Amino acid sequence: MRVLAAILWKDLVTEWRSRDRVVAMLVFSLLVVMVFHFALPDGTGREIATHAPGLLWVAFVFAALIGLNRAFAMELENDALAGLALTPMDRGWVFMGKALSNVLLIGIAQGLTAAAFALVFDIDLLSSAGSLALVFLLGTLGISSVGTLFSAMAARTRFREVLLPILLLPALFPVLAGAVEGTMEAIRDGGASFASIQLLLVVDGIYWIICFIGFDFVLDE
Amino acid sequence: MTAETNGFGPVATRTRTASGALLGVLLIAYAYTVVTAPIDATQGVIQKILYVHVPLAYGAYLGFVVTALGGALYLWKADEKWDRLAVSGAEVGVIFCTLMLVTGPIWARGTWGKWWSWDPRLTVTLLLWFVYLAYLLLRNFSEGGSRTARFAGVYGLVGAALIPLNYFVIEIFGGRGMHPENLERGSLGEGMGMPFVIGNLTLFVAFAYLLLLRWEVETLRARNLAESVDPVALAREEIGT
Amino acid sequence: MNYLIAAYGVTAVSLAAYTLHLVRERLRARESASRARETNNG
Repeated sequence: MRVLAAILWKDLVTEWRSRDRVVAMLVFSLLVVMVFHFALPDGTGREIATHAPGLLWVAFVFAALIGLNRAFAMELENDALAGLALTPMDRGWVFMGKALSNVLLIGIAQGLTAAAFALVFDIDLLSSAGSLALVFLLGTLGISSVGTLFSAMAARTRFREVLLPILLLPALFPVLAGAVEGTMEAIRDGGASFASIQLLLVVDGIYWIICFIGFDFVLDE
Repeated sequence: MTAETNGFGPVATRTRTASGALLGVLLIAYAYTVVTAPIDATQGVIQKILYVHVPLAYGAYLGFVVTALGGALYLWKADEKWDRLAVSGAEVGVIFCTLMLVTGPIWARGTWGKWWSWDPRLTVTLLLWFVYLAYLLLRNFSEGGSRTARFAGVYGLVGAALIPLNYFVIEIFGGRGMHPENLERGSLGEGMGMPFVIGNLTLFVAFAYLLLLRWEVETLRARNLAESVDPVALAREEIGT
Repeated sequence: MNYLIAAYGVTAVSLAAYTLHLVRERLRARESASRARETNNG
């Protein structure tokens, strides 16, 4: 447990000092929102509102990819991956620390992107902010678990920036299915349905367990 | 050294040969039953694609089961022969999956005029295909040896969880258009049972044969690699030490 | 009918080609093994 806290703290402090990942994620997702504006036909209001959940999550996933690409870059550059792997007993907790810090960073980018989205496309997200936050959190937990695992893998391969999306996106489909549906329900009905939440919880549970165990084999040096 | 590069012993070799022989016989039976199968009243002759499309599906999914299991066994026992089995499963599986994704749309185009639809089964198959590709690319881009095997094993596990998860998801949420053939309702007509069974059997044996063959090739390659690097081990193997 | 032939045709050709590929690979692997043996013994 202490390892978890240590890794989490180290990651967040390092990020706070340079803020490079959050800024990169944020700039990128704002640019994506801008691209959507040009990509979609003219017209705010009803039409955009139906597509908004999907678009929002597309932006989130892209931002997450940017952030995750750099998740282990620091360790790689400084040859610190071996150091992380020294204690076999703790590797699972290393994973949790890393993944939770990713949740936080992606979450921040998400919140700001959602705000930008609401402003630019004139959609009311504030009234369902509570349920939205829950859906966002559950979705990000899903993205971060497999994202962290695959980021660690991709970091040790050729073409890592290309490989990460290829590995990650198929694994994200169940997460996105629940998240997009939940977001849509939250915006439309004021609250996500139990089906969506349940799906997200099940997926998150399965993913975190598999990644917790699998991380052991990925960090084996 | 040589013990590690084994794993395709006499049992496997005999199974491979036997399945090869069986395959030859089955192919003849297969051709016969498909040609003489009754023609469907509503869809016409094209309905006979069923006898190749569905068996391919079994192979595609079975391939990933082999990949995931092989990977899991490797992670558990660290015996490289399981990793070789896993990659063989992936290669044969991706071929079956690709063929499934080719014959499916051909069938769809011939019956309803549309090449593609996002119904649950097609979507999950497409996803499986992407997972296969990701798996193979991961192996290709990794630096090789035990790292590749480990990474592949872990990804295989994620993939194995992914496929049933997604099927479940799409059944609940998606379902934009049913898989029109209604295969699961057991609506095979009169006289269609035999070609269906033979078709499944033939392609299953074909799958097994190709899997074993691929596994053998992989084992031979690994052995060559090991021996080319270490002639002492090679010499030892010959002397019998 | 064309669709039917196309479907079976693609399947048959692909699987046959793959089988041939594997058989050739196995031959190649066996040859290089015996060659290695010869150079080591020679």
